[in-house]
Amino acid sequence: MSRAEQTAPTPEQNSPAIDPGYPFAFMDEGAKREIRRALLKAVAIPGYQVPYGSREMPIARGWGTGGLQITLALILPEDVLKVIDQGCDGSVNAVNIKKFVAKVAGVTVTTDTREATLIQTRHRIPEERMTSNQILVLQVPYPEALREVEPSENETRRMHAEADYTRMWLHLYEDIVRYGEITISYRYPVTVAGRYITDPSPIPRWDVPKLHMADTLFLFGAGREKRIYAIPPHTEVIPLEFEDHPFRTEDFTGKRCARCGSDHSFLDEVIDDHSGARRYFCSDTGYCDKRRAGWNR
Amino acid sequence: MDYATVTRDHRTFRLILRAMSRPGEVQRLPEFIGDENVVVELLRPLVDNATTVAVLGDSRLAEELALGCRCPLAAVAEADFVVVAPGADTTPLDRCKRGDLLYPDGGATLLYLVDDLEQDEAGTLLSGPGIAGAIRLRISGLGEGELTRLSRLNGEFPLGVDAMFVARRNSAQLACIPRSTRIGGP
Repeated sequence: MSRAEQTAPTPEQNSPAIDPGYPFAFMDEGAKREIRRALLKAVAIPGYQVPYGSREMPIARGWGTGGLQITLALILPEDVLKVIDQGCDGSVNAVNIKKFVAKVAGVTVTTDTREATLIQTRHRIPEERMTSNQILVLQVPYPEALREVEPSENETRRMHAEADYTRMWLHLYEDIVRYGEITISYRYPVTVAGRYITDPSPIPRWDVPKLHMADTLFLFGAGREKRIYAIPPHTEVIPLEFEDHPFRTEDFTGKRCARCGSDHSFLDEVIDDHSGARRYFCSDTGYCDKRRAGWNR
Repeated sequence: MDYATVTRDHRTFRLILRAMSRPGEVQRLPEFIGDENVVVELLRPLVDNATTVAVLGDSRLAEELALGCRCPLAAVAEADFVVVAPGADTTPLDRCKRGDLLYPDGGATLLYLVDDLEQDEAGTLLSGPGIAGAIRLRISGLGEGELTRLSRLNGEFPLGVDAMFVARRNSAQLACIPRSTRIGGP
């Protein structure tokens, strides 16, 4: 993995030394151990949600505490960390998490997917293909894919235990009857390693195929809901679909990023307030910036 | 715990996580893990007074572990972690925790001390999540029939146990066979 040395350091990359007021990686060792045990079981049972005692973090629950706790339980001082929020490196949430982890673990931060060893993300998987030496930590608001069809935790647990997923399939079928296709746009349910139906977190459909047979380990943390789960590398991840209604990703045919010209990345639609014109931009800002800087032209 | 110990635990865990998510792949453990302290160093990032540990075939190791990790000792049938010393009688492993269908994560984690780990054509064929196609792992110094026992314990996925193998010959090495791995032919 190439470290930051080759590029000129920006103020952001000159991460401050660990704040002496905090223990390394902020959390107490008991909390980290519980999270690590949950992580190992999550990896050993792909797609199964392991319950754990989510801790109070210096950000509010629902703002990425699940992902943050995983990051802190496994981070190394020499890690190069990237944090993205809906594809963006510069949003308040992403910047604050990045600053916090740099402060308590002394890591270097980056916006470059290729340079990062550890990426924490909310609702996107980077456009650039990740490698076997990287780990992607996903923040999860609702870990239970079956919650749409069943409000009771006891009942969804039983459904997972018995692999009783008929109501989920019925839900999708009813969608087709009503609208002619499955209308789920994000949080598209997947079957992991042929066993558990799993919520891939609110990533767009575009990102779902990236989970299938990947080189990278994906870890999912839901802090408010107190669940950890994982998709190991080289694992079958199949979106739920019917033979006559196959899964499809968002269609951006004929559209390009107005900033970097990319016609092969996930695009955000922006409507101009005055003219009403529609423009499209890469959702992955790190990727967009890199293309703008002349990469791979 | 001091900074050095804490970051050591982070480093060790990162390797365990890599080994568990890439079954059969042999990981070289960091140099601070020597022959003497290998079990305590490997388990300290994971176990404490919230988990129980059983040791088969080495009562001194059990004491060291209880002191080094402050974990209560328990019978194999109740333990969250089971350490298997070389040459131990492993029949009690048939009773170890495999979780239940509601909470399969209740299954035990096994740690076998073996002689050597090698990616080798003569090794056992492993496949499943975390493995690109298939991988061969040769475990020297593992009791005969142990892998068959693991297959049996893990015969009802998602119930089962997750095994770590640590070898101390040359430098310390680690490989894992979680319950999701198919042992032997496809």
